[in-house]
Amino acid sequence: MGPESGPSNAGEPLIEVTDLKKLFPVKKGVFGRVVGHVHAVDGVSLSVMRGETLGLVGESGCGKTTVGRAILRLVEPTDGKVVFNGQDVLGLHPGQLRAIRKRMQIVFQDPYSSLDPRMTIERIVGEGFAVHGSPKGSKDPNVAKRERIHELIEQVGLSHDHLSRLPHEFSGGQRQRIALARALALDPDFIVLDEPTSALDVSVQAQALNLLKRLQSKLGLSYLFISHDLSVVGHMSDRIAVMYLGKIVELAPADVFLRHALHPYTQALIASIPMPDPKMRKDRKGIEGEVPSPTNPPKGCRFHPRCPKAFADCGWNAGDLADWLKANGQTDQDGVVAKDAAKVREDGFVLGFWLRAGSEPLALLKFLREVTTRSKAEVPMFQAVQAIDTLIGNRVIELRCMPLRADRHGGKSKSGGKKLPSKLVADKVYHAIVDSYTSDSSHNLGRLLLPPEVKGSRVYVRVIGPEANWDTLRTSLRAFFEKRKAAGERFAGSVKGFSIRKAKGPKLSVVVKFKPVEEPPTYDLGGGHMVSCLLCKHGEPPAP
Amino acid sequence: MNGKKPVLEIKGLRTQFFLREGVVTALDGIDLTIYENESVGIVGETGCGKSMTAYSILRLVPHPGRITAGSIKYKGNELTTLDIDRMRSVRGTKISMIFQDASTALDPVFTVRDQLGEVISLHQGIYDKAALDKKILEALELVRIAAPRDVMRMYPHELSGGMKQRVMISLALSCSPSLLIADEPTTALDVTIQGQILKLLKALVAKTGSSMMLITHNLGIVAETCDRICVMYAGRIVEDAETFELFANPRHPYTAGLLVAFPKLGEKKAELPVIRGTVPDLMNPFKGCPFVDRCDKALEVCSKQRPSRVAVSPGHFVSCHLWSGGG
Repeated sequence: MGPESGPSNAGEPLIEVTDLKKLFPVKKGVFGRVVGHVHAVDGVSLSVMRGETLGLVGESGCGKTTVGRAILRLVEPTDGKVVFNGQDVLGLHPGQLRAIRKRMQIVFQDPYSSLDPRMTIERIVGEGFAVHGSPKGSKDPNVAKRERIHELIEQVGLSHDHLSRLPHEFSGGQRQRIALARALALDPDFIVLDEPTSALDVSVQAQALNLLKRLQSKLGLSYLFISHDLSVVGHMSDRIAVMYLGKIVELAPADVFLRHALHPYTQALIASIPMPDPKMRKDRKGIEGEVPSPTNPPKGCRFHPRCPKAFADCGWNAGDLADWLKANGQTDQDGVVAKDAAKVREDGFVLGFWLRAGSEPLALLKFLREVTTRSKAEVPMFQAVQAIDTLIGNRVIELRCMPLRADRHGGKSKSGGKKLPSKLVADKVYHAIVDSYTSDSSHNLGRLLLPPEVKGSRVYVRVIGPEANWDTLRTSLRAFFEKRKAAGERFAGSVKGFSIRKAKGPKLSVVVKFKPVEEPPTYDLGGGHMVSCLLCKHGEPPAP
Repeated sequence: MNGKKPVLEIKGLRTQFFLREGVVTALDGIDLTIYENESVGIVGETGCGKSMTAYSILRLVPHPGRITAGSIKYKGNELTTLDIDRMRSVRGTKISMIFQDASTALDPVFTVRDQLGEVISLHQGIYDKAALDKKILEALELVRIAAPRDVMRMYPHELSGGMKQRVMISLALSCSPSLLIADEPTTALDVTIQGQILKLLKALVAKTGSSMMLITHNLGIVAETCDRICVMYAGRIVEDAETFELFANPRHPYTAGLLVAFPKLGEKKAELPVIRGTVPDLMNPFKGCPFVDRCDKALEVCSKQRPSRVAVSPGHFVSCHLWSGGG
């Protein structure tokens, strides 16, 4: 059952994390219905080399703590891969996991809640031996254990007579030493340090940081150092990764990082640190705005709504325009939008204004067009606007799909027919229709406004377009499905039929469309410096 | 001193807590003067008495503590002996305070409008709804809250940490006080939000012409925000000087130790210099200097006699035997 301690490969990473994801469900109501997910960690890849300290910085809620815990499987990751010393951690069963946990430890942020108040220091430090057996030695296991605890407590700078005391007798700095002694007890290779000094005062923090460094060089430990304090991370780390809303936006060796940080968020973080030197007092530029909710992270680059350098293709969407209108007083009592629009609905890259009965769309249309032209130069969001249009008429295409049982059985029903989960069908149908109808301007047909809604085995696609052309739409839709079915496409096969009918709600609306944008790719600037920002694409000179 | 009028003068302030276990001297002879249009930083570690200084000024020292000696004068008027009603008229209108944790300082069951409205109508006697709403909007616009009309109707739990702190600041400034006490106003906030709030505070203090007393444990914050800095240790002010002077020539061993113990961005050191030991227990009265056990330069006299406050250069005061002729 013991760990397969393979040959230690010095050149290879000790920990390799690939595309790690953790979603926390958001529940609502008496029955705990899941209404959404918090994207705490959303595709994080990093590695920690032997003997190295990797710093992980970010603001609260960016997912840095969850990354640390997911690596140790203290929270179960939703997706991704964690390889420790060549072993896939996520595939291990509990027994194997226990063995590997001996070699991966954690020190928590709050030394007041991470130590059991009713256990003596000796028991706290020695608790690992109760689970994993006493330290090896020719002597009596109890003696070996006691000697090891004495050795540990000396290593962290406390003395023997502290062992019989209880945690409440110690100060914050001493408690953090005790937590460290506990983490070191089983001779780990890797320790996650989750904000180990943020509860400590400056003078005590310096002591704790020095101790961590000394132990690392003595015992050859690898650290994942998680903190919100860039000065501390800069002092401790060999390489630094910056997280923002569940993603790593920049990763670089420490010296490169501090001098040539490229990502605007990293630059803002560095600029926001108050320097303890009045001569370096600067006119703070900082950044505006606050971190958006990770339940519904911004599209495209997650930093784009706050980014001082944002481009047109950074991911501007309906939500940003809605926020802009709100911030500029347009959805308040007196704004043009508030006067004309009964309801503003944002949906991905399309912002729809449902007009009030009897309202004239031209005023709103004119306003939106004017604002767009006027603000193009200053606000990059308006450069991303593709079209502003009025739409008349309102129809829903209702697709009747095969029963939903397929969802549970991985796409195969009992009868053996090939069926797709209906959410997937909905998306496919939606995109297929979008492709064939919005790109073809000759028939001037319905424009698809909103993403599909799925209710049971039915999928609703809302279409808005000129009143007269519904018959043409019907004919061409039919032709479209027959053609796709004949081509053997599975999604078309699972659509049993469709109908077009009137939808509820106002008939008139104005929409603003944005160009759909993907998340920015990660660019490798060489020397281990990775940045996920379109600045690289738009020709910002890379770091020398 | 430099022709400016003092707003607040504290002399020999002593605040003690009478516990069953004994007497804790939280403040032990504080001398502090804050002039007009000046921002003064109070720095120190946990338990050194920075917040207690603020509570003593406002006479909000919690039970079983009380001010046992010294005087606090606001523009020449003694505050320590003022009766409760008169003291109430000082709080908010003349001296107001921003608390560290905005989420507990705001009342969760009232909207932002209710809370701001209460302060404004109590202190300024405005009860008319339209006039009050106008005042509230002005107060919220002053702290640059986006969509103030929406925020007015919200409850504290609907606001983010930065927004709450902005509401707190607008509460504190709504009656244009001449002294604003900010107790760790950004400790609970993220670094980018902290930058925004500090910038706002600085701009507002400059705009309204009030003085500010900024309490923090972060040396970076005072370095960037304050004109003058007082360093506190174990209930005493051990050193006070203009910001540039203090950072260039720290005289007290504790100040010097604090300055180097702080990791600086871009400076790679193998080891950080440390101040050994921990903060002393305030239950035992000190005969001499409270820092003596942790001080590398301690003299024999340090543990016997309390150091007096001496000027090492104009405007730079230090309480240390090394400078008062002891060495």
